[in-house]
Amino acid sequence: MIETEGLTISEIHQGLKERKFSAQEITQAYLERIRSQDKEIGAFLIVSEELALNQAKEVDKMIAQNQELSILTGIPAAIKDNILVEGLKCTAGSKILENYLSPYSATCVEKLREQKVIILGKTNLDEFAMGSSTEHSAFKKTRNPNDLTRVPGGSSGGSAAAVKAGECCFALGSDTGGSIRQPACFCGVVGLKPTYGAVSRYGLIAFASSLDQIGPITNTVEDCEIVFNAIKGKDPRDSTSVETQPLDHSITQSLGNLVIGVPKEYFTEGIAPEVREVIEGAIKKIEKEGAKIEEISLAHTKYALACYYIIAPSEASSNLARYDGIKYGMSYENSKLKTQNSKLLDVYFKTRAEGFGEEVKRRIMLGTYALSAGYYEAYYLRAQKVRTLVKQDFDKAFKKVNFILTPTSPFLPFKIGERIEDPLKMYLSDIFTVSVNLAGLPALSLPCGKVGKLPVGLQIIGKSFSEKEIFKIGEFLEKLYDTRNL
Amino acid sequence: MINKEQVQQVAKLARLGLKKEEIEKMQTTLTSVLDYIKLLEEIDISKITPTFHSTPIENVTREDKVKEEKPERVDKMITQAPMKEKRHIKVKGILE
Repeated sequence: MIETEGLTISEIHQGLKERKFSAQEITQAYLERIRSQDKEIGAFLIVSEELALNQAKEVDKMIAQNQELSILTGIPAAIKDNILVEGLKCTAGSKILENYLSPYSATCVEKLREQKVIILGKTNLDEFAMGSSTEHSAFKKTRNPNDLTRVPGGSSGGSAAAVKAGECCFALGSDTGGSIRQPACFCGVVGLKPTYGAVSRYGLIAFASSLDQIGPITNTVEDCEIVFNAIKGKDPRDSTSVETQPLDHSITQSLGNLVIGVPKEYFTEGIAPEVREVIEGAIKKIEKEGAKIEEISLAHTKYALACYYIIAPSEASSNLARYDGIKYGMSYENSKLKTQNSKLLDVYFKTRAEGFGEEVKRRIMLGTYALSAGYYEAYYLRAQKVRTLVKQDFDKAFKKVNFILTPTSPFLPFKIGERIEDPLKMYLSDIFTVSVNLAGLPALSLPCGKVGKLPVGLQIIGKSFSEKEIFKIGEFLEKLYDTRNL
Repeated sequence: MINKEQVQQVAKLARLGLKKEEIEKMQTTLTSVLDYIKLLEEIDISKITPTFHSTPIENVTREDKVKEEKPERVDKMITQAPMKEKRHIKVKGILE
């Protein structure tokens, strides 16, 4: 049986080309890994075995006919369960969509399928991607493959855990305030939140539309770049999507001529000393390679989380209004409790009462409150103005530096149950990731060290549409930290 | 502290049914989050314009034309509605 843990896209591609194994064999190897591991890990909500094996058969036919294989042909992947795959259920981790069948595929999934990527299944998440531990899923808990007593992060916790545990070669996630980067950090894999607009959101179940982005979770930076290049691009079905234009300045050949900004605000309040130590060590190593490290200030950092927790719930309260028990999803109409003379409003209230979990209800309440008459200016409008300041901090910094490096998470993966009772404590998980979403920037989380068996992630933030440069420096750092052997 | 009536009023606006215990818990957790958010009051925002969107794109439009959709896809969508009649989604009366 093929060892799937840590296997990369180019390794599988090579294996298929050289006929070391068939697409069906490699797919079986991942399915077998899921069968043996996922009872413990809990990364998958649905395993689409039949679909995957049919897709693999198709690839084997191509190989038999000596057809040209693209780099992603026959690569087994997993998709976060808030991204539509035609024919499969899409629950968003919510009871309200428990039986929802995707009538079409998301643009990013269509693009992967054009290259004949094999879909192994759909991964667990916090309900509607609202959470930082995957504990808010209505269906099951996902465990961190590095330590089963700890959370995998969230909301794309299923995707990150599946990649780490060798249950898929790569996965797609979505990131509204850190939901790709933080679980990638907690599980010890690579995750990219692309520039806002770089990847089409068509077919992504909406949470906060001005912040949401789909992105890859992978074993290596190279894999991350391959998947990003496959899914990016303008899509007429998402009017906020744009064609990515690589920045003009030449990509560096070494770390020597780079100026790296390290914002002092990320090393003061809230950071755990053991995380700080690993990150500072990682930055010193870069300095030794000749890069210029410059302390910078992102002065409004301390306001970013509060700003995010007004804007994201506000947009969510509007986006989630569509779950009304009329068009699709769970409905009071089909409920046993339904009374003869129930009215339209009963359908709304009772469907939503039954269908949404506690955290989703809280965010809808927060958002509705912030947008309601008399509070709009004090909360929503004020937050959007603070957002301008957060963005300006980055604009200013990028006049002086090429990249900004920060820790991805202020602390190590926490124990299951440790933060679930106190929402504010859970929200603090996102303290180093939300600013990037508010400003629309791209950022990558890369493992840079460990504390015991728990990984620590470094966040590389770049200018808008600088993904190519981020991958370049990411590959340097991956070698420098020997990430694959951490 | 946000009071019980405020919680009920917001829940009504959000068309969200809440049980008695949920209302009480919502009162405490919403209050703690709203207290945290007060942090933003420290900043002078009088001369700042809001950023509703991080990318500078405006008014992306298309022709207002109905696009043909595969009938089987339309069926897939309609079959998921809880109440339907032929190829229509049924909604309860909105007028008493």
